[in-house]
Amino acid sequence: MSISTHPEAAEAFARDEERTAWHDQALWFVRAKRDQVTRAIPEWEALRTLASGIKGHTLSRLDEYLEEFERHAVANGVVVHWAADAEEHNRIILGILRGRGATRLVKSKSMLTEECHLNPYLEANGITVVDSDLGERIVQLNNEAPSHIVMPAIHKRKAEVGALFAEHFGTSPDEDDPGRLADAARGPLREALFGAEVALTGVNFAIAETGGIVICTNEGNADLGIHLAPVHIASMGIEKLIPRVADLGVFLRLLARSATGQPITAYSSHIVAPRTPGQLHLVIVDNGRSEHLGRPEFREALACIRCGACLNTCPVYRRSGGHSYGSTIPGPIGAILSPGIDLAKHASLPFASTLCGSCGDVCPVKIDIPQQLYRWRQIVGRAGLLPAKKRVAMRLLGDALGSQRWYERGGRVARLLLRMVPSWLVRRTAWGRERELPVAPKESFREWYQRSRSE
Amino acid sequence: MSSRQMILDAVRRNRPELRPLPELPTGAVLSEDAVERFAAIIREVGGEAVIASDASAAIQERYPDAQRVLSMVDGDAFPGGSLEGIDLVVLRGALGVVENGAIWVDEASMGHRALPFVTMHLVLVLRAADLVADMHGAYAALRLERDTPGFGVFISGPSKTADIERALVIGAQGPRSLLVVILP
Repeated sequence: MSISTHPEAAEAFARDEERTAWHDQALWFVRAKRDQVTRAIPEWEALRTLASGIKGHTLSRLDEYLEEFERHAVANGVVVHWAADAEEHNRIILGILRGRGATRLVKSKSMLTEECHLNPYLEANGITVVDSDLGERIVQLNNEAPSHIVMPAIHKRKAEVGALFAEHFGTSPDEDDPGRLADAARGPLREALFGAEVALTGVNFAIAETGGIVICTNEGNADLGIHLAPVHIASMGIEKLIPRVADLGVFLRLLARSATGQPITAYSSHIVAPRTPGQLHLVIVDNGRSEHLGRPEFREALACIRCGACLNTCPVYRRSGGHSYGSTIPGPIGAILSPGIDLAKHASLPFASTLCGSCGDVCPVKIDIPQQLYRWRQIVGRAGLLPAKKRVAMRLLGDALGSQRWYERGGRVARLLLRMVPSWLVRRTAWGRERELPVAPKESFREWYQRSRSE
Repeated sequence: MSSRQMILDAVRRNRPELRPLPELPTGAVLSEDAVERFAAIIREVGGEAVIASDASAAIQERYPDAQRVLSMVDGDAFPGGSLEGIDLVVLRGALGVVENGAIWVDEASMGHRALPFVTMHLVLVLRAADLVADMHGAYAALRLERDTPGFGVFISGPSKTADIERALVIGAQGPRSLLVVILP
């Protein structure tokens, strides 16, 4: 079985140095904006603690909150569906479309439908899918997956978008002005939204005490879809629950500031009942989440509100691009969620990190991402999924660091090798490509200490 | 067994020990310069804000060429007709949030749920007395858990996107501009 590991895929991305540098800077800019707006909130740290506490509590009584949510949603006239896995989710949605005789689905942003691979499933069943978020539309037209959970097309340069739009929207092939390109997409996207029979959205928060859902967006496409189409389908993972409406006060203060550095998204839509006339279908999806809840060391990751702050700050993500992760959710949060879905396939992801801790520092719900990355490494190692070179190197290092005799001998050998190994050989290793080896000291610290003390 | 039962059983089996539900903050006190700060943040998020006692005059001045205008400020019902080709929609905002420029508009004051989104330009009219400092104050004032509208939305600025090279473009799929008229 040949699975491209993160280092392999990252190497391909990083070969384009100009793009990599731009990608790195573009995301760092978002991180800097996030810092600026969060510093304007003196109680920021208290908000993070609150958010973590609310999510922690909800997960500890998630079954009860799901039942309470369902009870209220049904009373509000919402049709509630439950999907154990991606396949069932997709089947339910196709069923709703077929029941209406609909041949087209207009979607707004939803990472869950990416996780379920809904688009290819519907297309194979004769349904046309139009992603109506601009970034999603760009990656859809280019037959790609989003490379970022908030900025789906962040890996694309404006000239590439221009070439794509020339092909699909008839703009000039030389057009690369973001304003004019966005404007060129506005017409066709609004046309699709106005003619929509069924509109699908994701869910940012589901409120147990009212049975309502909240969707946070900037472009207006989600609301255009759901208030114009006779049928609204909302797909949500079971972890989107929060107990009270007032909890939104905490989460809406954190979400956009963490995600894009905005004080709040342009639209925070609170949908409780279907419009009249109209239908609202809610699909509540498990797809491995309940199993993840049973992993005490990792369950905290289910508190994630998908802001993307950990991606923007991660030195590895910024320089390797979202597609290099080979998982629906890339970046640090993807690297701790994906091994729970398929450990062998995603075995390289917990190592796509320097363990610098920045992801944990910016997380609005205080998920200890670095600690979880570290724990997944142990599990990958124990499962025998480390690459052979790393496995041997780790064993040797473990032996050397575990015994004073071997440590001293190892040090002597290393000092000797430092003098002998030619630098061209070192440069051929992944570690040595960008590094110069230090000048070998004549003696170890221990030797120096003993000599100096006796003098 | 139904998927519903399977999911709920698995969650019950795997859930951690009960953790306490934290108390929520009640919200900060409104500052003396709240109106100015509210207007400033609306401009920051790409909107326009004026403080004016005559809303109609302010709207006329900003949008003199608007042809098809729908004003719902007096509790009007949606008069019907196409939702396409609307130049200007004027709605009453129930509450404004100083920290982020967000304005709450619920279904009852929209006429039609799609109006704030289909229109080319949107005007929200809000009384200065209806400002709160932050989102905690907003939810405390709105009491949505008791008085739950079928649909309501916080609107902060016009529709926007930054999906092409992070360049901010005002006017994505929704309104191209937002004017907030604050009645003193």
